[in-house]
Amino acid sequence: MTLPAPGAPVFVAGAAPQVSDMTSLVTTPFTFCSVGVAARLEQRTVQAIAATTLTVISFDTVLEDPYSGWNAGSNSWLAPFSGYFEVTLTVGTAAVNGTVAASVVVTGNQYTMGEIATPSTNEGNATCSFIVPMIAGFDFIQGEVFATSAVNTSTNVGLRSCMEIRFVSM
Amino acid sequence: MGSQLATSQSVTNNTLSGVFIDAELLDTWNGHRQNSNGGNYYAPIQGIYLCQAAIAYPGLSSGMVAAVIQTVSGGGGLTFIGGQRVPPRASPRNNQPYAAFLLAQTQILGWGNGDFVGPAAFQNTGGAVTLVNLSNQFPWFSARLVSQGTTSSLPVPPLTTFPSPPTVLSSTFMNTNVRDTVKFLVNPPVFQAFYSNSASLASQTTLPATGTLLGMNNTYVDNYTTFSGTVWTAPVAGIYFCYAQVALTTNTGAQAMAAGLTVTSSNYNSGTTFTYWGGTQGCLSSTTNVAVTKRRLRLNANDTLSLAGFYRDSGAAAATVLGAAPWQTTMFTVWESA
Repeated sequence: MTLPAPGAPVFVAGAAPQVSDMTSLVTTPFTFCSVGVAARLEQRTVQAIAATTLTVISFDTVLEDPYSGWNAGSNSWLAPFSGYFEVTLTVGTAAVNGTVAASVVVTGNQYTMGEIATPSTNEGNATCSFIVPMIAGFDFIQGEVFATSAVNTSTNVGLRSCMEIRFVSM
Repeated sequence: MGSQLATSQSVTNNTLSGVFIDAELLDTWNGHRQNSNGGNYYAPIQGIYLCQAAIAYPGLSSGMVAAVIQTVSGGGGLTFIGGQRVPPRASPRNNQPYAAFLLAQTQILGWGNGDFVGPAAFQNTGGAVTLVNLSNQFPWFSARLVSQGTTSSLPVPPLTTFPSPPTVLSSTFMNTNVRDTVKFLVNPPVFQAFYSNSASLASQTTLPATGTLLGMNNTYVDNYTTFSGTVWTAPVAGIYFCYAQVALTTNTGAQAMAAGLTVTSSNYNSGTTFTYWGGTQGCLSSTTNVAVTKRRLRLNANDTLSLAGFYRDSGAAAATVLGAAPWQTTMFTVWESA
């Protein structure tokens, strides 16, 4: 379902609305408000992360992306309309004795980085989330990972890396 | 939504401290009071708010660092609710724990009065710590009204096409497709429960496919009343923001811990129950450690979700699950979209 961001409906005095009017004034705005989520992406194949190198995550599985914003070639999601979007990024890795960080990157600008110490005994993880303003057709979102030691991302079903993007507000 | 980008706030050792937010990114209802009480958001409307915070600490070599949320709720006293609490490392790019909670805001009196929510920090590394304020590493906080939190059983809006003449536009149609749609969208399903006793979590050597379930006996909000014991059942289909937090008092051989969301849904793992783990984080021995994880999951009505915990100890000793404020074990879900 791909709907434009609706403007405020205007009901005109004296006008007899047709079915198409009620659809555009009522059904379409309600549908837009109900749909909300813009994309959910997941990684199901291993990606090698070099030590101390910010690396763009290659999400290979599109769980849903109704606005078709995901570009697998550039591993980025292009904003379909302008507004504020909440991005949640989770990175799962094999065991690494150091730290793992996840970072939301918008149009090349790194917004924030969630970095957590990880034990050498079990799989690592980092998570990061942020609300970002985006301009339609211009701004794009990527997920990055950083680790203090070389490590592979995890493809265990319960530890897959994922990125979720949700429209929040105009 | 706002950040600390200029203040470089100093956080006192071993003290729960409010965090100043000096840069507003988005404040559509002007709830954030930037002067004199800068970290707090005074809710403009009654309801349940999804509050999130991440606190950026520098490289540190001892103690613990944590993300915390502070609130006055229902006209009560100032309360701190602790989120992720981890031992920091000395030379990473930063140490950035995260916290998220649903909080009811009911005393709506305006700036400086009544209920509020805001970010807070805690560290016990042995001395004062200055938070990181860089362009790409900084403390941030967001608060968003997600539901009225009142009892409901409404379905997801059907959004039926309007009828064409000569079919009459009935009150039933309008009540279902307009009135109930508005009522659902301002009061979708929300759930949060806390664990408020203490129990043991046995040591395991590897993250299991399905984690040990942790019961919660203190329901904070559950407007569709679908939680019981360890299991929350999705009342309607849709995308849910799901958060799990496990607070433990570790034993002397503490090595690792994790929080997980155990899912039973035909949308995942061919319908076989499994746990979405947050991955493991390092532990400090014989003290409070808190792990978190979050996912946006598409669930069908009647799919189930539970809180799971993992703990690894070199001596195979168990950890104690915590339920006392501010470090609590909890899980919440918020319906976000159809």
